[in-house]
Amino acid sequence: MTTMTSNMPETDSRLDLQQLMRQKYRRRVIVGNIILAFVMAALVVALIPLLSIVISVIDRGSKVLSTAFLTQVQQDPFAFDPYAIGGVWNAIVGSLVMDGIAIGAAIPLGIFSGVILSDAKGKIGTTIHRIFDVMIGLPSILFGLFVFFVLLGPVFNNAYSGMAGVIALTLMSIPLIAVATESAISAVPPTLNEAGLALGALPSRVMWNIKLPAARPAILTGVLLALSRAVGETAPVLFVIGQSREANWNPAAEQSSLPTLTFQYLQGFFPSQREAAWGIALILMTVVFLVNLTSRIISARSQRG
Amino acid sequence: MEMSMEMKENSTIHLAPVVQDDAQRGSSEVAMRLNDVSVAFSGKTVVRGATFDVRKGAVTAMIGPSGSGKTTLLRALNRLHDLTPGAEVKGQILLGQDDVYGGGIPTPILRARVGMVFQRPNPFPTMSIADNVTSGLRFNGVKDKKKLEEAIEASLWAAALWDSVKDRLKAPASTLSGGEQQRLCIARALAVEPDVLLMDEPTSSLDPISTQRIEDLMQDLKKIVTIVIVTHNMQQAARVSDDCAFLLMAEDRAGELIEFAPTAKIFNDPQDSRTLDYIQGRFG
Repeated sequence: MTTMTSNMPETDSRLDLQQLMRQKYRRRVIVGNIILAFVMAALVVALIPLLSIVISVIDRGSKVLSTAFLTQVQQDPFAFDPYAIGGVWNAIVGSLVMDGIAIGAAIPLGIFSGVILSDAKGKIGTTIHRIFDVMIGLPSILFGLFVFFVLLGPVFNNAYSGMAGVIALTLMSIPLIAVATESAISAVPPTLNEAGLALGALPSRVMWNIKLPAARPAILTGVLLALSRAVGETAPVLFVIGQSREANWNPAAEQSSLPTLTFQYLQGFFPSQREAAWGIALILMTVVFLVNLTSRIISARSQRG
Repeated sequence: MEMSMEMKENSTIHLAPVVQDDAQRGSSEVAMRLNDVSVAFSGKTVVRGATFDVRKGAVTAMIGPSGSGKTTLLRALNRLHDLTPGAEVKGQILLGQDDVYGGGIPTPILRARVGMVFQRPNPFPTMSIADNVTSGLRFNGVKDKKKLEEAIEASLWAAALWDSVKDRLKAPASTLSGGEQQRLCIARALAVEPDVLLMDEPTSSLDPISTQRIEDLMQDLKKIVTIVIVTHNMQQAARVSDDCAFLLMAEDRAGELIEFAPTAKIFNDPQDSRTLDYIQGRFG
């Protein structure tokens, strides 16, 4: 104690300092509270429109939703029966078929691209990485534009086809999955790579048996993110899949999808069509919510394990 | 009574750890020979001109302050520093008769013969305890179920881990304590039956009891594998090693081998004054 005090300031000056700090304290608390109030206000401003979207989708969508709405195919209302809109089964089937095939194709392509990205150092790797980054940022309508102008003629004989939509969605999903895979692999501790190599494993073995399994939860999260984006996309498929009113399990036939049907109904002549758009919105919101919830559960479980 | 006698004998004040000189520890056969080995990263020399023999069945320690190039030299022995871009090795390293850098042996085969244990336990997190042990064999193309089963028990036994994990071999490796994980990593390295085991400060992240268990283990292990250990801890080097290499950073920041000798000689009668200064704790 004595050695300590020898270096400390005189008692008077210490009391002065403590007095000063006490005075400043009140001011600091007030300033802190003002900043907090601003932050809370910003939060409320951001939440009000968000919540009102969610609430109106649930409120107006649930009025439309019924078993018939989910299981019947689309009908065109006419003047004598303006409420005969049928259901959205054709769009549900179209979305299932096209999103399923697109993600199914994008998973291997995206993961393999991500694996190569994570190994490719230097100029080529960086360039590919930049290209993927740009592709992720591209407005999704450009994928639709590309398929419409470049592929629809030569590949699909100028006929609408679900497969054209699948190609657009796959192209859009590959960079998302690739970049997620690359960052997931990069996040694997380098010491695991060294441990594998130090046992005499080839780098490809280390990738397959150590790095990819360790990165799996993060890759799965990326896949689900790509899936929830593909489910909700209108623009890439709008011009190329047609407007099928029948439920087509054949992906090569003319198709319908939940987002494009929403688009169609918003332009509809009958009020019943515009109301039906809310029903589809509720379906889409529920699907995206469930996909997100799944990815949350996966990443939470992987952190615990 | 005997204990107190011994303690009395050793109670003279030694600045350096006391090492009993029981002359012939390890064999005189050479497991690895380093001949004027220099390591550089992107043209900058990190270790220069290291020459010594790693005796078969002995524990060889590399000691020295931070930056003296101990870990770099260790990682040159199994070519793991190849992972660092711009790494370059000059001089000659022989594993038995094979020239490590002269194209005498493919790198993966070299690494299977020169195993490694790292500073922090790094079991493969997605694999069970058993799968961790057999991973090296499977990576090297061994598929025979019986051989793999045998390796699990033999390696865990050798790493003094069998009794505590034999009932939960299918459990994830992450369920083990830090010390157990490090012994699992030792078992994993032993399973491919290496000639040499490199240990890079294997106890630096462990508590004193786990540290002691690993040190005890090393005395048993050297009957089946030659050990090269890097350690910051001089007392550890004095306790576990038979031969000792002392490295020090030169003026140009490259590590140099100052002295190589049997551990007893390094600690009781060093030839170089810098070695004496270091083991007496004057720097480092």
